Amino acid sequence: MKKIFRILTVVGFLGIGAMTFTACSLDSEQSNYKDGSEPIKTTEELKATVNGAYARMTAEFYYGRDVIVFSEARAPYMYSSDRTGRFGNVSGFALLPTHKYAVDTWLQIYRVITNANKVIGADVESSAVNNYYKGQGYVIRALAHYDLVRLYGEQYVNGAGVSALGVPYKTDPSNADEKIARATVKENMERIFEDLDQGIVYLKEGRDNGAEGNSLVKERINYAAALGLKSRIALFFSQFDKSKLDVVIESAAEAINNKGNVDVLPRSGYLDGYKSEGVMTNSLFELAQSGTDNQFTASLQYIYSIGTSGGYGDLQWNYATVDTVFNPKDGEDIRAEVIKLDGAKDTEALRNTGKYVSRSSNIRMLRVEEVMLNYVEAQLQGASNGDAAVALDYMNQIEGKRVVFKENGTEKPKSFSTITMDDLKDVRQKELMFEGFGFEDAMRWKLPITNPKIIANEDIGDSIEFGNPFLAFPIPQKEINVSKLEQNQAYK
Amino acid sequence: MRSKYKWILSILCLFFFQVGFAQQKTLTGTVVEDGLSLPGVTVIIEGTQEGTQTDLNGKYSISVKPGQTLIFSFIGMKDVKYKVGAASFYNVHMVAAGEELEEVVVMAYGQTKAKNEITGNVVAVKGEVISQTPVASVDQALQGRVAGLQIASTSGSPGAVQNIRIRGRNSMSANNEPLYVVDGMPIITDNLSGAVDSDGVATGTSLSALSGINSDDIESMTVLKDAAATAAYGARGGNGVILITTKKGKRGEPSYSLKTSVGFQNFARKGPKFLSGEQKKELWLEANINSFGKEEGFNKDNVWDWYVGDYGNDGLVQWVNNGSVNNDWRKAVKNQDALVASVSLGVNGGDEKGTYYASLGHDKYEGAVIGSDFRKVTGSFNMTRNLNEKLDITIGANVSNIKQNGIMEGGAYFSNPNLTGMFMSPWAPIYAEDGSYNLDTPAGLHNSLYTSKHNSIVNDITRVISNNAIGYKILDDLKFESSIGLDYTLSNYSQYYNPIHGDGKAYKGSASQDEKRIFNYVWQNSLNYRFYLGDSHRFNVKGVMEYQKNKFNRLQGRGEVLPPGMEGLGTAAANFTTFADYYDWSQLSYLGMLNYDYQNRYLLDVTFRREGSSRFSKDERWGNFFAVGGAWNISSEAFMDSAHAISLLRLRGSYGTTGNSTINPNMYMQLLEPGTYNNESAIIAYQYGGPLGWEKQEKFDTGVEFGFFNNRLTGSFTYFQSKSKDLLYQRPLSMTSGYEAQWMNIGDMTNRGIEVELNYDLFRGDDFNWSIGGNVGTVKNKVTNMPVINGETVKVLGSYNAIEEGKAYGTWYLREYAGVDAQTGNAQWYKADGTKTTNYNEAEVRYQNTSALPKVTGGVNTHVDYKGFYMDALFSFAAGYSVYDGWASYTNTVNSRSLYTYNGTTELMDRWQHPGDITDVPRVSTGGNANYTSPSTRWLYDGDHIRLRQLTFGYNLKKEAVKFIGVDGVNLAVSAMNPFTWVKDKRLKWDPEVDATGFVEMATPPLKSVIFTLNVKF
Repeated sequence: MKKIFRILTVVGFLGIGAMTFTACSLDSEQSNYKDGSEPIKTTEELKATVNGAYARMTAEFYYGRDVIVFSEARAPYMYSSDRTGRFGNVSGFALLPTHKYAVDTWLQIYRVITNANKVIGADVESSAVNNYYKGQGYVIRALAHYDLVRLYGEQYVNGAGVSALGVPYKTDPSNADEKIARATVKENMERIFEDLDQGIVYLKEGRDNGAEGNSLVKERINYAAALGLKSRIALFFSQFDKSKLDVVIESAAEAINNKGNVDVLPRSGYLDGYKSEGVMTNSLFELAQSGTDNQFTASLQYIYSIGTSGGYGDLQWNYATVDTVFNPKDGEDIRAEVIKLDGAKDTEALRNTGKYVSRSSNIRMLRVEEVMLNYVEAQLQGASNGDAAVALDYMNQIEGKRVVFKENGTEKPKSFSTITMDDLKDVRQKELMFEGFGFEDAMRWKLPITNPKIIANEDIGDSIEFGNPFLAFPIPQKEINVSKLEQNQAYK
Repeated sequence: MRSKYKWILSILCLFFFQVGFAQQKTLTGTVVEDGLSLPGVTVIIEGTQEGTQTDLNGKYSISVKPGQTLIFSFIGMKDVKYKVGAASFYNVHMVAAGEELEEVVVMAYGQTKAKNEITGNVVAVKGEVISQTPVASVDQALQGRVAGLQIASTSGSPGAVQNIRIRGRNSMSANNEPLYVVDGMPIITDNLSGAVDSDGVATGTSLSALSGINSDDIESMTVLKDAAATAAYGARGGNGVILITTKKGKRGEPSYSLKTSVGFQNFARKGPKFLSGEQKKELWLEANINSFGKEEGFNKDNVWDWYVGDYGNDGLVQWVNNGSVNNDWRKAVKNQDALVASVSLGVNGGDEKGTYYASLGHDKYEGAVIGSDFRKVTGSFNMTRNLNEKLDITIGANVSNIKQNGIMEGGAYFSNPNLTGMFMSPWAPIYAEDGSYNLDTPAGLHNSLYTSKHNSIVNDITRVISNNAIGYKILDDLKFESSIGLDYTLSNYSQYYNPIHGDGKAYKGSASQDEKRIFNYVWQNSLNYRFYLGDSHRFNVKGVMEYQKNKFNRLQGRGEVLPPGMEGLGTAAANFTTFADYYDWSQLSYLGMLNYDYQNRYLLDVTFRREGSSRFSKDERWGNFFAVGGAWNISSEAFMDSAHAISLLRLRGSYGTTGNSTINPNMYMQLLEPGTYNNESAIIAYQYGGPLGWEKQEKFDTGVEFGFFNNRLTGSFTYFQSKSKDLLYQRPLSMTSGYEAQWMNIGDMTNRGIEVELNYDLFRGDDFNWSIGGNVGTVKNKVTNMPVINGETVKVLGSYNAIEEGKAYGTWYLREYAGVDAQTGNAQWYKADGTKTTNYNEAEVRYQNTSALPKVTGGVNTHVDYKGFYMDALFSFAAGYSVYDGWASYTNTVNSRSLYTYNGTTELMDRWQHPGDITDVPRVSTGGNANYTSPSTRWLYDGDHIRLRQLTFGYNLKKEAVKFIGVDGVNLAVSAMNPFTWVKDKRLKWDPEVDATGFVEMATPPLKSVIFTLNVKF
């Protein structure tokens, strides 16, 4: 009897134990993630997800560093010496489909697109506020695809233009196994403009209904910024499709009409303007960075200069002197002050020490000067709706605040009476130098590019001209492994 | 257990009275142990209270009747019984308890079995072997001792994590490390170092979770390899299981043991030589001549003038002007003859009520590279106690504190001293003119002599592992046991970068702290019933319920701008950031085990386990695992009685399933992660998920075990096959989805191979013994099924290796180097048509038939002893794998990167110079032949090697001498670890033992050491 009692006790104990634990849920708890299988339902989530897209844009692989450096390291006036092993293969046009640069940026831009697609696909009522955020989502999606096309598209290769292969245009955030293929640059262009236009409509609605608040919020894409970005993108496509010149004029003019208190930076505040870590007075849109939210050693400052507090400084000036570009005979140009001897002993070189001076500097996404120069270039290229007087005024607004002639102790601002494409090219290069335009501008103007890394690359000539297959980045091998996308010609 | 039964039996015997009628007489004799007389031995006539004790000389005298039985007992010794006959004197040889027992092997869930009772494939390594191997974490002691077990070192820094692969790679994306079980409790073995990035990838010296265990506390380690052996841990046994059994007390007077050792260590292989200042100058000037000489009209004779004119006062010119003093950075960052010292003190004892064991240990290891060291203090205690006839309890705790000064390693960190040694130009002075460290180092590199002194990276880890059990004997053969294992780790990681030089400069000094709390508990309840049916059918049935939960908590802080001379996070002035996270996981399982044998001739083991894991999605959470093992002890058959030469012959085999669940929690979900933008909160799409369940391995294993000539020749032969199905695989996604990969159960992979173990006692004698043994294991890996996407089978082609159906996982996939064009001096590769090309992009990428994991591994050992002197040697070897030197693109370029900016190896001296030169190193220039160091077979090396893993000479002091000193035993030994390495590929200068990825890492290489040990028992 006693034996049975003992056995029962133990079995009972075991049974209770087993039941206690079976009842215990086997779901894991994790503090820093939440389920994302459902579409966005509230305005708060919508806003946070737009913020997520901006946060991803600030990453080093995108606007935080790489896409700006890709443009500058392949500009006529700058290259990477590869002194710490960074970007030398970009300057030398020696990227391979397995290289990090080709892979990381591709992924990061599509990550931004995924967040933007979640915003666009949000299941929220159509209100001014919600549309204000959705409008940002549309513009971000357009800008991201534009950035993909300019890096990975083959529009320059053999001068194929818009008929060349572009990139897959993604609109569905929910199905990772969607069958994809590379669209043509033309198809990409059309969808980019569709998104831009939809975004602009929503942003206008948002602004008109007070969703933006009283003053322009410049850390987000606002109505004027969307128009300004549209003028940039239209200018890019106008080299293949002249009809886009009118789009440049129209969107640049509307952007400038709505710029609010944003104005061309004065000469006296030029260098300090770039030293400020917050939003510059000439900016329509910046990506915010701060002392605690920045790219640290992967920041633009680190790659541009060594300075006193350290940096990699791989990117350096491609000419023997600053004067090669900023000829003193053309007046005293405040912009020349940006380029200085940097480093010590064998690290010493001419580098950009004036733009992106700190790792917490905001990323200057769109300045009013660029929008003006977009207008001027479209006008000079023969847009049907441009105004030559306005273009001349824009050029003088900018050059007058940059260059002075010193005569007998008085300073006389530079001023044009007429302008040509050469004037525009000269001003645009000097104005936007180190801000991520060098390569695209050179391509639009069909300039050859040469630097020591190109010369050292024995698989290509000593200079890269428009039409060269290596002007397009390779499609990442990792991508091709899975989706069988067609590789660019240089890397087949 | 056995001794306990005997003890109970003998107590019982005391209560029964036996009547004897025989003639009374006096019996005398001496009791000795190992030739020494034993005083104080109790001599009792069985069944009576009558008795005596031996005197100081071990002599006894007792009045007995023939037919009575005498029991000689002494604490710590096995009782001896003697049935009194006609003789009037009887000398007794006593032996220590435990010594004479048949060698038993600890199996899953605390089962112990004799070798011929096992149906699975297991290898046991004795604690004394482990404690004689002077390494910082105990797993390292298994190298070369277990067939089919391969260890790859991630770093030679003390305490760093080792990669262990049992029978190769079983999983693609999930963890491939075996499960560790300490005294029956599965423990966590993650890298405990705080030097990891947000994805958990190490950014500095790692810290093995096993390094907190004192090697002197280990009784034995058992490696379970096949399904029958691991199925009890079924769900998590897919990569094999390593059971660690710690020492327990033995009945008897307190017995103390003291071990101290001291020694020093250095790199096991020197590694490649780097260019001296003069050599680098010669090459760099030649590069300039080749690039600009013709154009600008200079040659070897006037290059220097041209150089000074063109380059100005650069690093080389300064070096020459300062007298061309060679700066050997590689030597400067080494810590020659790094000190190793340890001391450990243990005591154990017990009586009929229970036993106890306690130990204290202190180890100190200096790193072979500046800036790293490792110190641990361990204390362990356990006791068993019989509360009454039915109840017994076991309580134990192992407490350790580790303080590890780590370095930044495993990557190209500018303050990694390994990088400084390889990359820093010999033109750059180590010290400034005033004797302080030169902080004006070139190419952005840091003077890591300064940073390792003025920065700090410290792991301070306290861990408590406590195992407690209560057993209740319901019936004689039915026992209930409930045990709980508590494992709590407190990890503090602090990092300080000084504001003067190095990584902290940009932040005006930075400091961070990372506090981790990991609590893991396991609760096991089991019922064990053993019974006979008839005389010959023996059964043992066990049912277990096990619940494990792991909770992980972390709090991190970082700040910048530190006051001079202050290093703590609390002193930072700006840019504070904090981070915290929490996650948990749990597993619940039910296990049934049946062991059956028929006259110990036919054995059958059946195991079934059902386990649920929180790591998997709801519908796929539960998995069923089973195994069946059988054995036939042929040598126990009657028809073998006449085969005297055969002492053991048995066949065994097993088949079953095991699993793998070692992935992060919630990998099956669609997840959003938090972000920040412009001081506002953000939500970021983070993970793409879907249904996810257990990865399963179907394992088949069969073998024969034998012993011939009174077990002089013993050995085994095994064939195994393991098929992994539903692999936990990070299926690559199109990156256009915004995600890189999704965890899925997809793909199959097989591993098959043979394992042979042999041991032969060449001489057996009282004074001289010599044995030689060896083991070898082969493993052939093949990916048998890859996912199909859009009708095409996925191939994962990387820069260096690839995963493709029909090939071994991660087979090297590279362009093949074709040497230097003798006419032009340019590097060449093979095209698809077999011709050579100097255009890297035109070359064909080819599979190279090897991967990072060896196809064959093994060890050979020999033991010789002669009158107390002994010598042990262990060779380990590995073959059939390749390692890749990914840093060649910094250390071997034929242009400015190695010749000017950084430094190159002396291999560059073999560069092509004139048409007709036959060499593998192209012409040097300032910027040419950049693809020479791009991925190709030029930098792939055969890893095949033989290493003298351990060589020990020792001496056990003679009993008489020991007794004279007044102790129980003295042992002196000197041991050398890795004193000699032979590498097949003469081109390979690095150590061939690299981590499981197969890449030469920028980490401290494996070390060689010489250690002197003194062991005293008293």
